[in-house]
Amino acid sequence: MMTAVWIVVCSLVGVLIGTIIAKKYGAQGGAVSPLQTVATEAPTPVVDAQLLSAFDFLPIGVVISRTGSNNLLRNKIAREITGVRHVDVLVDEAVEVLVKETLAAGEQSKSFQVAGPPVRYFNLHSQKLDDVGVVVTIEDTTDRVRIDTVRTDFVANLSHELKTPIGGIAALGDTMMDETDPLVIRQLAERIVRESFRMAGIVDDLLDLSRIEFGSSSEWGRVNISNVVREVVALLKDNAHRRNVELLISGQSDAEVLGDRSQLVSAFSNLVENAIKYSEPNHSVKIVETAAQDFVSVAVVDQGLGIAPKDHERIFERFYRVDRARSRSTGGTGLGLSIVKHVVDNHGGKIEVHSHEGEGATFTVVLPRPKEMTHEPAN
Amino acid sequence: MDELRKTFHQELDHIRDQVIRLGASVIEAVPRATSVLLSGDLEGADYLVQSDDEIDARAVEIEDQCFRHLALQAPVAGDLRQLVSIIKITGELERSADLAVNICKGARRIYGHDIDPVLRGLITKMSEQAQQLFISATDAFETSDAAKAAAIDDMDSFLDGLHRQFIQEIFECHARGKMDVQVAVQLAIIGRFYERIGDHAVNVGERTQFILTGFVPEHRGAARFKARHANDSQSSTDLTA
Repeated sequence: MMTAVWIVVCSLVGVLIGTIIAKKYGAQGGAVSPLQTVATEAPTPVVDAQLLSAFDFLPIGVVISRTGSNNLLRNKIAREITGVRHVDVLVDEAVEVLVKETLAAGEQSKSFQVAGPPVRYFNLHSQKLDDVGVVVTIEDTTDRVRIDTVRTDFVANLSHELKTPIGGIAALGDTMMDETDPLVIRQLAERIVRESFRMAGIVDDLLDLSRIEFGSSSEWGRVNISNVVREVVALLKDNAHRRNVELLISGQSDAEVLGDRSQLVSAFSNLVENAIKYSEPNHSVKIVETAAQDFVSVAVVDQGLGIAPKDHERIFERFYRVDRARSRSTGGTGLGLSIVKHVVDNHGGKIEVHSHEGEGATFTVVLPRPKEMTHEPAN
Repeated sequence: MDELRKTFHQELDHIRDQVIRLGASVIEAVPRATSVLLSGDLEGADYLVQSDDEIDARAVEIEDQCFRHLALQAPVAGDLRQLVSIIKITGELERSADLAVNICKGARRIYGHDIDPVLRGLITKMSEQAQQLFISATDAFETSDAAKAAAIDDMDSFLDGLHRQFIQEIFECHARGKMDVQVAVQLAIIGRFYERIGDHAVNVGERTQFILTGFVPEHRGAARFKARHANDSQSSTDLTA
């Protein structure tokens, strides 16, 4: 499908470019091309201007080059991609190299990556127009590559999360069949139960996520965020105590939002549970609430391992693990932050993460306060 | 004659473009090297080591062009400052790319060893800062912005601070028994590479200042040295008199 679109776009680009070049430079030797035929029909400057504007509507960057002159024409996307900044300079350079290769050897394609940050991916495609002219199309494929990566990682991570407990249960059952020592059998049975609970947890979370994703909730109403935070702290107090982590609350405002209480409790529980899980003993986890006229924000601040900036975008994906090797020791289903993200989206809010490795992490959930719920004076 | 100068200036612009492109390659090399280091990407390390040859070749080409113009065009004033400075800037850029390669080589030496999260965080920050310094330096060169070029030295102080923090953390990590001596030493050396990349960016900024104003901060130091030397000579003359 994409290939067909690509061919159509390239053909259109070829015709448009040819018209402009033929008009500007006149026919130059070689076989008579359809472009030259168009040119002999004396296109008006108005048509030229329209063609040039039409270029700007193309969803890809187009650069036309002619030997002996600088790049003749760039459409809007190409002007935005190639320019002055260092990434643009690298793209510009790649275009120049491709033009030379195309003049020497005909049609060329090239994919390349720029480290950024953020990392960006480009596909370049070039075709010869005549002996001296080349058209290069530039496609920023960053989003496509990101979606592909998310999809393939999702399949890999899902199979890892589900296959590991299943494989474990099978191996434990197999060992049990040949075992005669009742003590060992008991130990193996306990581990089978543990792995089963782990799988049940994943399935429960998947069902939760699916429910939240569709936004279906029958419990929509006024929710006091401070009460939600207090409930979450009460729920996780024992967990924190076992790990010798202190839970601190500040800025309780009793601000209200419109939403589903159980979804919000689930979201904040996930955030606080993660913060406890990744904190070293004798450290604290802070839950800081801030209320403004239009929004209320809740920040969960920990002093744990932290998250590298490159992972910030991806941690909300289902089953994404920053360090897959550590996923077994830290537990969890790999769906927690995904649930948080969907709950926040359902409530029309946003979630931000500030973290560097080794410096802890701050997850801030910002939820809107409907106007009729704010008690501040109108002016 | 005017036509000759016009061609010369066009060629000078072309050389400037090549320097900007070389700068872009260095800006690109720094995060790539960091990614190699933090993810243990040996294939990425090989790629970066090999691509350094291309950077070297481009640097040599730029220098050759500068030498040719110095010899054939007898440039004066701004043009002369530009050509001489570009020769120096090219050296700084080429050396910075070498340092990025050195980071990759260091990454190979500690392959398979875990790096403490705090150190990983500091490496990321040093890399971001070193890259930012080069972005500012090449921007200042490209846009002929003397004020921006002068600010790079101050920006480098932040990188120096991160480097000190990094070294301190290596000591602490090693003292906690979390890291082998070999890894600690390699990481300390790698930290130094980032710090040096920052210094090279500062030098690019100073050379850009020189192109635009005819002044480099070293002039002050050189003037102080000359003054001291003159005073010393005067004192010795007085003593012998």
